[in-house]
Amino acid sequence: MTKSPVQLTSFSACTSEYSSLEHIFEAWLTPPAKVPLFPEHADESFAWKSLVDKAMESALPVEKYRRDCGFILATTKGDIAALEATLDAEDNKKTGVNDVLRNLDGHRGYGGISQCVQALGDRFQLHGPRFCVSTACTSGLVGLMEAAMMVSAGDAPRVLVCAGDIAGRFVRDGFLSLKAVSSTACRPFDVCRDGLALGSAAAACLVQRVENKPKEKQGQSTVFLAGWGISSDAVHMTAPDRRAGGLIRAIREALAMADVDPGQIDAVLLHGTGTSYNDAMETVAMREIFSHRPPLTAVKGLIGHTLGASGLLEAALAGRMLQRQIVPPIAGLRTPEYPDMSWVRAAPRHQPLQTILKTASGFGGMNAAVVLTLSNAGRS
Amino acid sequence: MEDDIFVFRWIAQDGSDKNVVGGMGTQPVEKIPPPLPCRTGVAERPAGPLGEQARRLAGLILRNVPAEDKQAMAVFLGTMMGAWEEDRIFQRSRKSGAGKYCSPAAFSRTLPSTVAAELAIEFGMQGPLLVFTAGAASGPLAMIRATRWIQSGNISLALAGALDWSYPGIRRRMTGAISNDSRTLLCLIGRRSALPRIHPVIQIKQGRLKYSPDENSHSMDTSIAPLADAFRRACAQRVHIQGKSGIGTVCQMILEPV
Repeated sequence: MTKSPVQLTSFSACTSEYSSLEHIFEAWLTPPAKVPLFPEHADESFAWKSLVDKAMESALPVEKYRRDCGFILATTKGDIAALEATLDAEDNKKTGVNDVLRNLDGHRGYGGISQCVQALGDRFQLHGPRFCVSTACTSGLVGLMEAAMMVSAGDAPRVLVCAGDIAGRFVRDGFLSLKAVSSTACRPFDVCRDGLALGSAAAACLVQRVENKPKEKQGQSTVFLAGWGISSDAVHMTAPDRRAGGLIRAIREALAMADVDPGQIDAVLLHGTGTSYNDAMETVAMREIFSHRPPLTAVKGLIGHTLGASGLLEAALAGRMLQRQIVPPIAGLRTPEYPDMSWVRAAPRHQPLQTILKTASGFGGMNAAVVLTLSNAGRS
Repeated sequence: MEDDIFVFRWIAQDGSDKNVVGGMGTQPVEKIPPPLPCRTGVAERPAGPLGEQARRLAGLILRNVPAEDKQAMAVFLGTMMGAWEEDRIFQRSRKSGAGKYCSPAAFSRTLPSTVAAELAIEFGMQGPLLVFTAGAASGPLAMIRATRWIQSGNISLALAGALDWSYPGIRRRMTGAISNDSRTLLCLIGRRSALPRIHPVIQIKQGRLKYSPDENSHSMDTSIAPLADAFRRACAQRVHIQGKSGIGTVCQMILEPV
């Protein structure tokens, strides 16, 4: 197993509701009573661009470090408005060529996710290796792992990973057809939960080896990616393994790589979609892995399921949890369905945090887990 | 460490379902076997013709591989167009139902990672699933990332490769470098010790990624045909692969016959 922790710096994130990682984190500490089930975008393509641009701008290294900075885009569908335009143009051959031409010339044609990578890499002058990772709703975490592997293996001294997805009409109709969307509110792990909410978001993070890291302000705490694991359920295309076999394997791999015992995990930030299958599966995994019942939290009741962006966005929030030594409550949770677990609800929990586990699962039975740790110097 | 990674088997086919453009290891394959037992349920059918083709090729490659090795196996796929055909099917269902009656089965296949997940389910592969996109370098990129994962010690065996749809809109726009066919290439890659009873055919000596602004243009190609050609030649001689993409990423590999 690879045993070379890498530093995660310059976390950033934004959603259609919240303009920065700090805003999301503050709202998570005291979640509003009512959150929308869907984001509203007048122009979905503009929303995609503005979110990923904002996230990347906040996480970029200074100019001299961009020359050899790799770039990984993690997304399920990329600029989905461009996809729709091209699909419609293809079905209307009379205007198809012109539409495709316009999309291509605007760097937003469905050539498709590749062109998103190209446009972003060019715009922000990131001149290291570039590519996209697309592994359903684990994309954000997998992008983070790929970036860590690239810097660990010397493929690039630093890599900017950006995860972004828009819950536009295409996605909304899909999840509605699956009857996976709540009719009231997203309430992960609650007895009254009836499905997920959707969110649009982007997150970014600069991943680098210790020796390549530019000097930071004194006293600034540092978050490390200590271990990671990925696995496949190999069971069903949309439903998770009810025995949580894949998630358990991913978590154990991540713990082993980080050289951390389950008892050393101070908190877990779960995927927590609010669908009955996912919540039950994650509960099974937590019971199997942990005997000491670490505090469990989740954020999708506040920001919705942000699809491919969720893994990285929530890893960034886990980083903030470490830096601020606080576990926010599960947004939307009132009465837990599984009361034997240590759910954090109603109010944030202040406690020493050194190591956090973050998990994600997605369509196709994909599971991912990362272990984040805090440098001792950063612990308050 | 890099010298210890091998291709045990590989095969490539174009989307016509008739022409085999590669072979199985060093041997040409005259005829691809018939499809696996048909799945009649709408919700269970594979993602499009390439998904079906990938299942068949993977079935050939994974023949005689012990079940316990398959269980730990990873899947690394490169694709430029992702789930293009499935996107079209779902979009049509949206339009015909005015957004109210969409096909949930079609939606579940609209992810670029769909085929990788279907292969994992079909063959019981429970290792990491990763799907990459880097324009025309997507195939070589998936190979290089698989190599890196094996080098890191996280996995010892992977089903790697690429598949892509033919895309009429892009073909009308582009000339010259565009392949007219959809294609699939799959290979079994890993450490020699991972499959002691299967003789490897190609050794992967080096694989790396770099950025080259010179390649940063709208040139597009399905990268699979040149990759299949390189594999075929590498069964007999040393081959340098340079997978160039329209997004500036260049994938370089050196392959040698075993």
